[in-house]
Amino acid sequence: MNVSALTPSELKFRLKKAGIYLQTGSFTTHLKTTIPSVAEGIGLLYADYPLVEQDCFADFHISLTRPRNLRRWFKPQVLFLFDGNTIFKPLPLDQAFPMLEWGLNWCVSTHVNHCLMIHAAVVEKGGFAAIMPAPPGSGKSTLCAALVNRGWRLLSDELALIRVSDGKLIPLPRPVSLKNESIEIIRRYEPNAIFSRKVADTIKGTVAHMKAPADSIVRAAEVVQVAWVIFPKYQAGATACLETLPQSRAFMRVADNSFNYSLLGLQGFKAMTNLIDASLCYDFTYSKLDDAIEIFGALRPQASNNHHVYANEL
Amino acid sequence: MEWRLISSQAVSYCSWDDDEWVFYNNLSGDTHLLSSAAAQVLLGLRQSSLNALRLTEALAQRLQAEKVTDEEFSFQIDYLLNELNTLGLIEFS
Amino acid sequence: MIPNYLILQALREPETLISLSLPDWDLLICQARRANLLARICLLLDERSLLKQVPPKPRQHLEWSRVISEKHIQAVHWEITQIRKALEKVGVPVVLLKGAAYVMAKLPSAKGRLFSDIDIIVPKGSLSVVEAALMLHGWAATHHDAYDQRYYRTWMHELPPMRHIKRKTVIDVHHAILPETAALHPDSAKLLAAAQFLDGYDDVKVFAPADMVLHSAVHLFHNDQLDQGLRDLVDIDSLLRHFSRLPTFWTDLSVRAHELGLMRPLFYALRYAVHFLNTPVPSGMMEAIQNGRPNPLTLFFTDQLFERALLPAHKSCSDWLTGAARQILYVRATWLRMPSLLLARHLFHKAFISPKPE
Repeated sequence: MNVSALTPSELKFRLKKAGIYLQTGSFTTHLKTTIPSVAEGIGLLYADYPLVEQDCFADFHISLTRPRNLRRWFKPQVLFLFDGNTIFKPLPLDQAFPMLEWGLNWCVSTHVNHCLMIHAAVVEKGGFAAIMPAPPGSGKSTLCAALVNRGWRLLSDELALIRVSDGKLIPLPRPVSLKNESIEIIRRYEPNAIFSRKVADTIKGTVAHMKAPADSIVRAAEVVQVAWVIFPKYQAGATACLETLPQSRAFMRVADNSFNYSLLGLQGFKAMTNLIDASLCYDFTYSKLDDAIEIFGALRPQASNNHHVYANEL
Repeated sequence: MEWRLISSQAVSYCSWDDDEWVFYNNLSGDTHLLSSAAAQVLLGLRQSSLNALRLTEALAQRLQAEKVTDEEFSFQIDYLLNELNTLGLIEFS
Repeated sequence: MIPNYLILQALREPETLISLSLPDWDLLICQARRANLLARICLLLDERSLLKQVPPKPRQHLEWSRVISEKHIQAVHWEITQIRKALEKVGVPVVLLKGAAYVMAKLPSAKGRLFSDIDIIVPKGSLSVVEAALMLHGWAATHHDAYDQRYYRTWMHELPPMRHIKRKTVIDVHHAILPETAALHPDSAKLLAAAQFLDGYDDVKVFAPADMVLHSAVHLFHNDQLDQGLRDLVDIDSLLRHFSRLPTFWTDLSVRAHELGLMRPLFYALRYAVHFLNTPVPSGMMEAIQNGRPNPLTLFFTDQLFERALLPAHKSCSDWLTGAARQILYVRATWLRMPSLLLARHLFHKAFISPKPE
């Protein structure tokens, strides 16, 4: 059963009482909340996600609540609870839904250690994935949103999960987080895209989330081979340009954008070596989304693994 | 007194183009992007521990050091050895 | 007295876990994560070759936590190498305490144990040279507030924690196991004199077995942070089980507790270890330390408090008194360590004057 099978009032009621067991990618999250904007956001953006109904085991137990303090009367706030305990400082109540999204990312990024986790958007076409690691402000989510509206499958907007055991990428398709001008850019680019309500004055500016394409949610269990590591950079007025990046440099930059590279120790080093060895690595500067779509469309995976790698213990 | 690798089992590396090498130190848990010269020093020390002079001689050939004077070259090697020591990849004993 | 919490079942009889239902696993994972004992449960199952029989979902959580504990052990070894280098010329052996000691001495209590700081103890007279040597090698004081600095240096049993500027790791340098102001005064010289070199090292020591248990007991029952309470009790349980193989261990332990004046914390440690974790303690032992037993009324209240506060801070392990119990124990732990006038001053200062961290 998907979330969409529940009427808004049923969903609200469930979230308030027992909570729902929401399946996103390979994770189950037990979510409880009494906050209406969260229930609305779930109903809108998570409509196509399955609910786990039997033999419930949740990877993460979270709830969004309003702290019981005096402020609730004049400046209402929201708390994110993990296993019943506060993780972050409270935010204004208005930011409850974005806080859920950030909190879900936090759950995955601080626990899932059978994967090398990279802060990156990931999209797939023709059986191969492109990882786009990038610091905030590089336009990674904008590019990701455009690509998934033009035939690429959304694997994740924030978290590339690369299984240590075999190097395959595990999809985690969730709503795409857009900021400030990007929201209107993508609205114009794809008028059919579904967005959550804009929330202003968050730590990241104005944010809104775009619903993940239904097909990417259905195919969330299909793991993928990575073929490209691309560092996007939006630069106003720039001509789109894909520049080959030496693999050793790419290695260090991906490691820099990883949540747990260092935690994984030697395993992390080996997983990263294999990832970089299997990938063509590029810096990508762009200003027009259509140019970017064209260049991404022309990407071809390398013929076979480079095998130029000397990986060894001394 | 000679330079030696901290532990031969603890250091892993990879490289795709010989110009730059990625070294992983399993004792410190740190990863380093190293120049070809630094990699040659570490690969050299894999064979046996060496004093700075012997190391300089061995490397001068491999790095085609005729372009610089001897003094400059051994100064550079000294600097490199100290850097690698600071990174915890080699030690002096 | 104590309901059969899954977390306690897991620690006492890990082999029974394979028959748990998924919802039970769900609850156990939450409790263990709160108590910082997930990795330990993973290792307990793995030692018994039972990990494969755990359903995939909960098994994954156990394995995730194992990754963290493996990295932790690597990091502790590296950190101790750095500390040894820094203190090479000081000429005092480094005596490791608690977590770092368990890891380096390869004791079973180190299994899956996570901790944030390295604790060492040195003779009081060497404090300033040790501090200087650490500063020379990149460690810097963390408490810049003049009040905190003075507080530590005047009243505490340790230097203000020092953090390495590059690695961000923290070291606590102690000269005693309890503050100068505490009612109990175990003699640091005696503890240091009995400390033993680690196998294969001539510059690193750990406390003798009995002293290690006593320190662990002191730490648990005089600590103001009980959120790690169950983990600390697991330390005690694990040390007792391990050292009970030594022929004179139990006698040594009671003699040493008398000698150092630590009968009370030892009494509590044994009482709650037996109570929560079924630690096998010889029957004569509880009698041998009877003079550590408080009066019945005190004991009744202490039982009430610890039975709540030692469990993980998870709603499944809490009743309406739990929050209050933790609060009372905070005040109690502070009380035990400082005479009353000083206590008032410290709490007052903490509440109203210290700058709020952002």
